[in-house]
Order: sequence, then C-alpha cells, then structure tokens
Amino acid sequence: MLAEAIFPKEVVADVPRITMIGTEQVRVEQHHGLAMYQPETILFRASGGQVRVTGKALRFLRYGAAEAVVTGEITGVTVEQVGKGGARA
Amino acid sequence: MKGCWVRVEAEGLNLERLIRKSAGAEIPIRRMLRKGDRRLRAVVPEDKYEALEQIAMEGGWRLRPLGRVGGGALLTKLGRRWGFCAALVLALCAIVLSTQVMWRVTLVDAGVYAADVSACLLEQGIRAPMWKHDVDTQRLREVLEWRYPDVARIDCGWRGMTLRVVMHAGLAEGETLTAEGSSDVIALRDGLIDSVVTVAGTAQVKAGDLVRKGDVLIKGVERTSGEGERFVAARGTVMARVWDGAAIRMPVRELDTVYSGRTQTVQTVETPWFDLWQTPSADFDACDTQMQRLALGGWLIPLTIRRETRHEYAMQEMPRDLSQVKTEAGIAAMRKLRQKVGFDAVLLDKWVEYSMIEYDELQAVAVCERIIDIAVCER
Repeated sequence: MLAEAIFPKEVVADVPRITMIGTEQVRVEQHHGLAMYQPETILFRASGGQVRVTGKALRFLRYGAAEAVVTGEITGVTVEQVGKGGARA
Repeated sequence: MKGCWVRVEAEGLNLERLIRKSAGAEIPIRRMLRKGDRRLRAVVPEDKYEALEQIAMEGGWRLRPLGRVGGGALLTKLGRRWGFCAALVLALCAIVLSTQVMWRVTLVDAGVYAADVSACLLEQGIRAPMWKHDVDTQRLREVLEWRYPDVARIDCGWRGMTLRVVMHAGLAEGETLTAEGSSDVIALRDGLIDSVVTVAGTAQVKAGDLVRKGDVLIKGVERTSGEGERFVAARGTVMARVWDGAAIRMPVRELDTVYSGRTQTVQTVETPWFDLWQTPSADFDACDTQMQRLALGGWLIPLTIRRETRHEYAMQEMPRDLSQVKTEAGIAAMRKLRQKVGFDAVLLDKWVEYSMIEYDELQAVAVCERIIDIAVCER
C-alpha cells in the first residue's frame, strides 16, 4: 500500500510502459531485453509476455536497460501475453 | 575520450543477444540500425567501446569501429589539422584584438571647422590606428568644446571601431555656410618659400617662390569629389627663408682735449665766509683749473691761501682708429640683431655690412638668415 502510494503503478507492477508519438516513434520502458530486431519487426521481452513493434525501416534512437526508443514507419505495436491473446495497439 | 561517441558495426548471429548483454552492462546504444540478417550498426560511447568489444569477443560476435561521430569526429579532424586550428585560433584572437583598435576617425557636420578639428585631434595624439582605451572621449569632447565656443554641442563617441566626432553648430534655420565662413593662410612677412605643408585648403605657392607680407599662401577652398568646391578654414605650415637686420651708427671721429701749453696762476686768501680779494678772471676761452689750498692758521684763525693754476685747452675732432670703430660697431649691431630675433633663434647664416655715412659716421648692419614658419591664419 505504501509502495503504491509513492511509486507509479507500472514501476510497482513491473509492467512495460509503452509511449507512442504518432506513427514515427515509440518508447518502450521497463522491458526485459530485446528478443528480435529486424527492419520490419522488433520484439521486446516484457513481464508476462512480449511487445512487438512492426513497421518499415525500424531503427533504434536509443537502447538501454531501462528504455528503448524506436523510430521509423511504425504500423503497429502489439503486447503479446504468454498463454493469452495479445493486446494490439 | 569521454564525451565522444563512436559508430560500431557488429556482425554475427543472434545480435539481439549482444544488444541485451550490452544493455545489461549499462552500455547505452543509440541510432541502432539493422544492416541485414547478420549485421548491425549502432553508436556507443567511446569510453564504453572496450567493454562492448569484450562482450562481443566473449559471445563470438565480430565488432569493428567505424569512426567517431558528432563532436568527436570534428575533434578528430581538427586533431589532424593542427596548423589549421592554430591559424583559426590566431585569427579569432586577431579579430577580437582588432575590435579594440580605433581604425578610423569620422567628423560629422564639422563644416568649416573640419580641418581644424583634424589638426586638434593630431595635437591630442589621436590618430588611427591606436588602441581605443587610449582615447578619452570625455576629455576630447571638453577640449573641443573649449576650442570652439561657437559650436552648440560636440559629441564624441564610438561606432564600432570608428571614433565619431559630431559637431552641432546650431545654425539658424535657412542659414548656410558661404565663402565668408572660410579663411585663408597668408604670409606673416616677406620671405623665400622653402617648403609648404597643407593641412586644409589649397596651396597657392611652392618652394622657391618669393612672397610678400600679406600674400595668400593657402586658399581656404578645396575641390570635392565632383566638380564642386567646398570652403574650409585653411591650415598649414609654410617654411620660408627670411632675413632680419639691425643697424648701428658710430662716429669715426671723437672730440679730444688738446692743451695749448699756456697757463695762468692766481691766488687769494679766503675765509669760510668770503675772499679777502677777488681773483682775476681767466685769460683763456677754455681752461682746466688746478686748485691748491694752504691753511694759514688753525681753527682759531680760519684763513686759507687758494692758488689756482689755469691750463688753456681747445677741443678738436680727432679721427679714431677705423678698425677699432668697425669692431665696436659690428659687435653692437650683432647684439641688437640678437635682441630682435631672440637669443635662442637658430640662424642659418649671419654677417655684418659696413658703410660710411657722410665721411664721419660708420654704419654697421648685422644681417641674419633663418627659416621660420610665416603662415598665419587670416581672420
């Protein structure tokens, strides 16, 4: 309770936080590593599943343990949960 | 180098694992781009490259640097061209220093005072180029306002590296400067022109010209860039050979006393109050008298015998030694000349001319030659 009162929810729950700016940039925070990187598909490992970013000419502006910023012609961001259907954005 | 970034290319299988490992080692990665199935390019900090290289070596990936990017690349290029960098630094320093130098002086609305203001600035030691901090604009303004009381206001300031002197004459509306506002430089005395230095105006004479007192030496007119003329207060220095003289007259004869040889001796007894008998008058027209007194008694009997011996003489003009007269006259004339021109005057040449005046006077004229400035502003 005290942790929830002080820290944001995603920090406490250790879930990925995805921020998308138009169709040109997406920021993925609190990921658990890069599973796949292709110019059309980027796959991040996340708590309870993975995050898929699809598009064209995808490249990283920044990549770190805390966050990754992907740019390019982004056509979709999908959160795929293990054992469940993925949530598509 | 810390703060620099380097582009790297990684080659191998499962490059995502390399990326995860580098992220785990807290190696920030930027501008990561896939270049095919087995190749990937990214930008990493230069000081983290060794750690990334170690990770790649452990995992079997091939990693090679492609060179610095951003500011680091610029530093690399400059490092190879140190001469260019040194020249660039020197140029920047020169530019900064040059802004501290006064390169030009501009006079605004100076009118007929333009030439004189220029001369005044030179007298104050202000001439381009010189350091700006050596120019006291406040003091300069005070000097100019004192020098030109007819000018309403004078502003001295900077416009970049140019000293601007703005003179506000305060003329009434409609009044314009005409030829009457200008002035010429005229000759103070007669002379033979030696050199002419024109500060303002147009010179009317040249070296070798003979000028009389009052002749115009520099006219207060200047030609403008077009066909027009503008009137200025003429200024300049005109050096000329001038001659000064001083005359002394001295007689070549002198009156001298000549004794004839004839004498007359008379004597009488005198008291403090009267003579016992009167002495006869002198037989000569002119004589020198020699007197002797002999006391007869003491203070009880105040009687004295007075004996006079008269020597006849006549005054005659006798000729003096001419060489002696010339010497004395020459010395006197030269002294008079020095008093006239000044004892500290620098003389090019000096001499004395002698002449007889009516056979009884010698005239000595001392003459000196010197070079002086005969220019004077006509008011």
